[in-house]
Amino acid sequence: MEERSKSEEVSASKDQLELEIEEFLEAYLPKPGTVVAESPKVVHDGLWGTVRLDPAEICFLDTPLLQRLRQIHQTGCSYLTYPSTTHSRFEHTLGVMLQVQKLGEALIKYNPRERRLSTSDIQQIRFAALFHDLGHGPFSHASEEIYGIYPIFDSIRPENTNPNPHEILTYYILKSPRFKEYCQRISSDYQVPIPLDEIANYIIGSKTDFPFKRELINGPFDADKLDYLFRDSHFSGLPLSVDLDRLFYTVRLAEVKGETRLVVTHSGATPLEQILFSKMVLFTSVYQHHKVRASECMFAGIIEYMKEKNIPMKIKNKELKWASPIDFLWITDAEILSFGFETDYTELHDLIHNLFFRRLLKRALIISLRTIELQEGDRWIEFQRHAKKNSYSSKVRRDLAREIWERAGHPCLLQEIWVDLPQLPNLKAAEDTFVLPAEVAGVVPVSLNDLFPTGIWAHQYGLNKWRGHVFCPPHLRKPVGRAAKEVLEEKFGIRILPEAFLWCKVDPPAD
Amino acid sequence: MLPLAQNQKWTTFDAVKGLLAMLPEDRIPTRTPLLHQALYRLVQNTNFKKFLNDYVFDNRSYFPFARDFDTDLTNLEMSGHLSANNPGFTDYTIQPKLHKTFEKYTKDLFSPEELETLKKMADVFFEELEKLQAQT
Repeated sequence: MEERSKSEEVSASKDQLELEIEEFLEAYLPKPGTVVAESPKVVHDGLWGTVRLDPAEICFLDTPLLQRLRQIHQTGCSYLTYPSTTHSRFEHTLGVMLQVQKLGEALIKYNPRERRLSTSDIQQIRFAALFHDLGHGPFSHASEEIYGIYPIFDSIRPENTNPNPHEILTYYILKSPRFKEYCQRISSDYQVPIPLDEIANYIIGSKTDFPFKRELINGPFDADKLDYLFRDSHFSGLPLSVDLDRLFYTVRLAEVKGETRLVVTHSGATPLEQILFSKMVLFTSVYQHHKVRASECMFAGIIEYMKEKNIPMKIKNKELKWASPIDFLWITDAEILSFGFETDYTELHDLIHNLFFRRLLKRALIISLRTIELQEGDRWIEFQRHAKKNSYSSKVRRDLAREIWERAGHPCLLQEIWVDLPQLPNLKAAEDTFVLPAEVAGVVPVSLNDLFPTGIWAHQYGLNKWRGHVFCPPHLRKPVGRAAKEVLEEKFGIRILPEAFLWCKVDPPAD
Repeated sequence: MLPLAQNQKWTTFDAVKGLLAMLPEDRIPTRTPLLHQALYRLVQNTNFKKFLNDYVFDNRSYFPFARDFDTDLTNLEMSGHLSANNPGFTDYTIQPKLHKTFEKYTKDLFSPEELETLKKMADVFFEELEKLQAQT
């Protein structure tokens, strides 16, 4: 059994987690009946235009629980590289609600004979869209990469599923007594059914009696993907081309492997392929851009430093020690960054200010298929295998960073040296997306990969674009690069080529 | 050389290397549903389950999917142990490197009885793949 990281002090049980969620909701969710909305609202989104909100939805939106999402960057630290990616989880949430509406209306319009989706179904799934990112912490996936490896998730993950950690936290928030009480009051006051258990299952993607409803919010081409692909590409300035109009008029419901699922007609295959390729391009160009990864390592370094030195962060009367994933829900991006101005700990102050003022870590070394030479009998796989998000691989990468730090003569804080091996996105969606070759009785939907192996080709693209890095403070690139070269070559029997340094504008060390 | 972990115990990843190294043939399909379904069937066997304990199977879709198995295959491909370079990337070829790596660095982590079970696992895995391919 792979080792777990022993340095984590985590909430050991589901009961403890539920108590912590109740404590969090006591601070972020007002008493039922406190927030009222007398009429619908119209919000103008910069990407999609007008979003209409019903009074019941406003009663959730106008709570600190949802409003905090305004202070959480959708794409984490990427705004330090792509300056316009300052969009937040809040506007993404509104965008997903709109996409649910549009997808749902398209399904009703183009499946006239068997209306298996109703307007009240769409209303319920809009609530799922409203709640779906409640479990995100500061800098979105950057904090998820930290708390997501805590062992607690092994015990709270619903059986036979493997949702993202933030989805699991969202699930437990929705299942909490305090949230249920608030929800029941809204449901009663505004005469709107809000089936929380079903909504929680949609968000986490559990098998339900109505998989096509779940797929509107958690599926291969769900509202969440449709919004973030467009939003993130728009604000990063990367023009990605997806024919969304065509997708909407080709969505259908059909029987797939004994279930009623969301499919597209044959002419909808092209936008689906575009979605898959766009996702891979976004990953390689934006989410896994080396500067974005460097800044996320810096955020991880801040948390690591605070944990090791036992420096709590106080929010109201709550002391955050990062032992529990719920600790991450108490703060937003601005709060962690402003802590740099408050703290008396000089090193912590510097770590936070380096991120705040964009004094980013830089590449000492690039790790890729083109910058290393595998030798006879190399052990490279023992390094490459740790391009994974679990506590064991995280510990191994930190241990390796420590070794490099020691070899380089402790030139900085350990929290400023990082071995970063990003995990490629999986393209399972290509197998899980179905196309109706013809709208004729008896025709069986086929997977997108059967029409054209989209997933496989996108995977090869990602494979060839993949980069791992060793990050360090800018002025230490030469000594750290040299130390990293020595350590990696000794441990894994490979040769680091001069390109590993030249591509990051560093002179290769003399052999 | 020692693996990065300080102990000498095998991990699920080592078992997967062994399984691939001991397959009766050196070609398997790359199709995700086939690979993951075949592996999931191994997990249902009490004799084999312990070798795959680190994988969490997600059954929300029509086929079970283990994220870390997917990543392990990608990493094996990136490090030259598997290659999917036929024109349509439809098959993985088990490279001689994987056999060498297993023989030299991984095999000794397992007891003789465990190796025997791994060989059986490899045979069953291959049979399951063939059955699943025939159904598609």
